Amino acid sequence: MQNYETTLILSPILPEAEWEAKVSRYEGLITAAGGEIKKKEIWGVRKLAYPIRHRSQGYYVFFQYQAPGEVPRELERNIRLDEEILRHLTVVAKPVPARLEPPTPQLEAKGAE
Amino acid sequence: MPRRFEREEERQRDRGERGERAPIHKKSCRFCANPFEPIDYKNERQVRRLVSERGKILPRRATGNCAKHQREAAIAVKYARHLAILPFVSEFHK
Repeated sequence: MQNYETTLILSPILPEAEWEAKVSRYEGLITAAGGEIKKKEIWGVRKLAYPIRHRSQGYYVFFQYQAPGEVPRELERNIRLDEEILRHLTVVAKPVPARLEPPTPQLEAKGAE
Repeated sequence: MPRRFEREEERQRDRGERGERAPIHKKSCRFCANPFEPIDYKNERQVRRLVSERGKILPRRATGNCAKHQREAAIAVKYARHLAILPFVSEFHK
């Protein structure tokens, strides 16, 4: 099991219900194949830094999930078939070191001297 | 010493005339200094600092990154470009 991150850019001209339907569809693909969604962020309509398929805006959706290796492959296959997706990116998520405790006070005091 | 200061001032004025921003010289790598905020291609504000106004990846001497983080930074910029968070070329600037 790996942690993955997938970002999708959906066409901005879709009706809102369509966005939601797609988001839950891809979400379903992940969970149905034994993945677990850790984080789901809807960034909404953002301006694109450059036009993609003549569109200057996109509807961004971001997922972070833990899943067996076949999941991103299958997900990507489905994404590629979807014409309403302007762009997508799946990467292995880098673990962020958890901030366990504030920097040791002793060291801080030493540095301040 | 005063002479060096004068020169420094001149340099900054020159830069100002050409409308360029002086690259910030840092002694230590910002990402080594704070491991709790790693380089993230999704963080537009962060990733913008890694490229020039033209959208080119800034060299290590300008960002002050260590070798390891500069490699990560370059990859992050490329991811961000793919997602249209950063431009490949920014000609709309001026």
